Amino acid sequence: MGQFARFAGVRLLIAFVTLAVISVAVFAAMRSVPGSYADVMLPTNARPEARAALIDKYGLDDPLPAQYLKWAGNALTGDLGDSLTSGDSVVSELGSRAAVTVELALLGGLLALLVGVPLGLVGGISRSRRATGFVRVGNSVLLSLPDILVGALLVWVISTYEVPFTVGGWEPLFSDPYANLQAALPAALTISVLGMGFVMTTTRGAVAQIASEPYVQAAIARGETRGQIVRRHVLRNSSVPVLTVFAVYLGYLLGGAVIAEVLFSLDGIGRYVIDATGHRDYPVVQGAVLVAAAAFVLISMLVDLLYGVLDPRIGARSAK
Amino acid sequence: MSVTFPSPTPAAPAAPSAGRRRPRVPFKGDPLGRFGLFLLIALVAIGLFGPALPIGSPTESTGDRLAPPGDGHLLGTDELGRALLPRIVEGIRETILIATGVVLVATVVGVLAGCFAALAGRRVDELIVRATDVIFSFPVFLIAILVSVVAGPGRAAAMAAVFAVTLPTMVRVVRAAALPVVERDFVTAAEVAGASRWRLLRVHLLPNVRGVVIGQVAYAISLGMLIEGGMSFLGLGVQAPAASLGSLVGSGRLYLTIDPAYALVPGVVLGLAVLAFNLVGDALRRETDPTLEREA
Repeated sequence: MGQFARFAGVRLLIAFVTLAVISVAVFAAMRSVPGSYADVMLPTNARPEARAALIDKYGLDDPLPAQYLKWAGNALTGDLGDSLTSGDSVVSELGSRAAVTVELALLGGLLALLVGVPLGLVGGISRSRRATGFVRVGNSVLLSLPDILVGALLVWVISTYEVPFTVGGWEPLFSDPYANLQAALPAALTISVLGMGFVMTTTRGAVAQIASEPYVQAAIARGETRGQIVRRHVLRNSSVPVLTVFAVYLGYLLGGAVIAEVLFSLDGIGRYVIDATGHRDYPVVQGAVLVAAAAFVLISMLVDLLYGVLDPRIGARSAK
Repeated sequence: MSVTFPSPTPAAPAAPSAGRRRPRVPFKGDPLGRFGLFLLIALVAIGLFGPALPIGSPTESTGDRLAPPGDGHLLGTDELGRALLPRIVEGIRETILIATGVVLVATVVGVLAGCFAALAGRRVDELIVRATDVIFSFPVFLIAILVSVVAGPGRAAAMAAVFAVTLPTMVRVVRAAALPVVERDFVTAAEVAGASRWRLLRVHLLPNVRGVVIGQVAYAISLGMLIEGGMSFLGLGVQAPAASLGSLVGSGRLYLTIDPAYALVPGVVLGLAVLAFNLVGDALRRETDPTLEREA
């Protein structure tokens, strides 16, 4: 297990460095907006005292590295500043919206796996010409359906016909699960289509490759049934590439949820940031981007560690 | 813009045994690929020559607001009375141009970086791969949001997002195709004979990765169009009065219950464009990757 601990240590270090680089990039981007930061943050008719107070609060007269350290230090202690438009603390605003975005991303990811893996499995295993042709068409279509089209279609159908789904009207999952799913499912479906295509492509490729491996030939020769072979050899061995794609996709979903949030009028982090971008509400954008990036780095790190568990060879190789 | 298809001079095949049998008809015996190619040529032609067609101006108001399809306006009008057909034609042009332009730049950078990674030895290779990992793992929407905050929303934000999504994959694909070539004897021989790195890349690597790259370009363009669509839909990308397919869906979504065609038609056109590039990419990969031919 010492090897694995070392592997985990290296991954943790990489995650930390990545996050540090991202925070510098976010900070630099925010300080390079046209006009000085104080001008941007204040209304044009602000009194000099307000300006002085702001400069004092954020230490805007300090050298840039000192400003960065102050900002990063505050961020680490859970203070991302206040929204310019509402005056609310960015952290508490993000916290109250995180549930929507996280649920959408997880549900979308789950749908992508539930549809993509079986389809890819069928596509990778079947040998008949008709089945492979069908799978190829289906795969191309899934990869080509724009999420904005799927979402617009769903919104139109839901608002025009009697269907058991709603646009907006989000209820917290634990207070009313049924109403929650009524609002969440169409939104999650919207953002899961591309993921279904990605997961299907990867599964199909991995399964097709594994199916021609000697150990599968050996299993066939031993007389194992198709179900046994899939369960014992194919699923586990194809899990690593599928997991890779899935992790990247889950990160995409954390941002991609914004499309569903906008279309279905859901109060998630994504819509909050997009609105803030429109209002040039910098503390919100800055804080939300940092939090989203941190969440993403965390996911990639967890997935990397999971590789080490799924395929011990990976941990052993990287630790050297 | 230039989208290249199977060139008359065949790429040097990666497998030593494969002969020079590139079909003269593109994608012969592959109806899906031919359908994709047809669709792609049709859409590119519409994008290129559409503005010259007598379909009206994409920016002038006709006087009717949110008119349904038919009734003098083939696809209806938007909330300012602009006819949708010319706006969609402009959207096709804008969407394809942005995705293709950015992907071509990403391809040049990606091919150079990928080949360099394969040639330059383990340290540099590791560094390049790690760098692509970091870019790849950074959510696109955050990049687009940052760019649109700094530079203002517009084409630049959408282009930055497309670049960030397509570059890392291109580097990886090229590197993966170049690595086995670097190990072959003729490269070692050339190295021993004193060939420069630049010559190795130009004479030995490029011809061998070309097939893979062309297929990947088509895939990357299709993904790029999806990303551009999402960004412009959110108002981070192309701004009115210009139109991309994504920005049309974005403005049309507000009127879904009154005039569903406004959002849905550009959405369907975007889907068709993405499908066209996907199918062509798939067909190209089938032609250049001998291991796939057996299964279909």
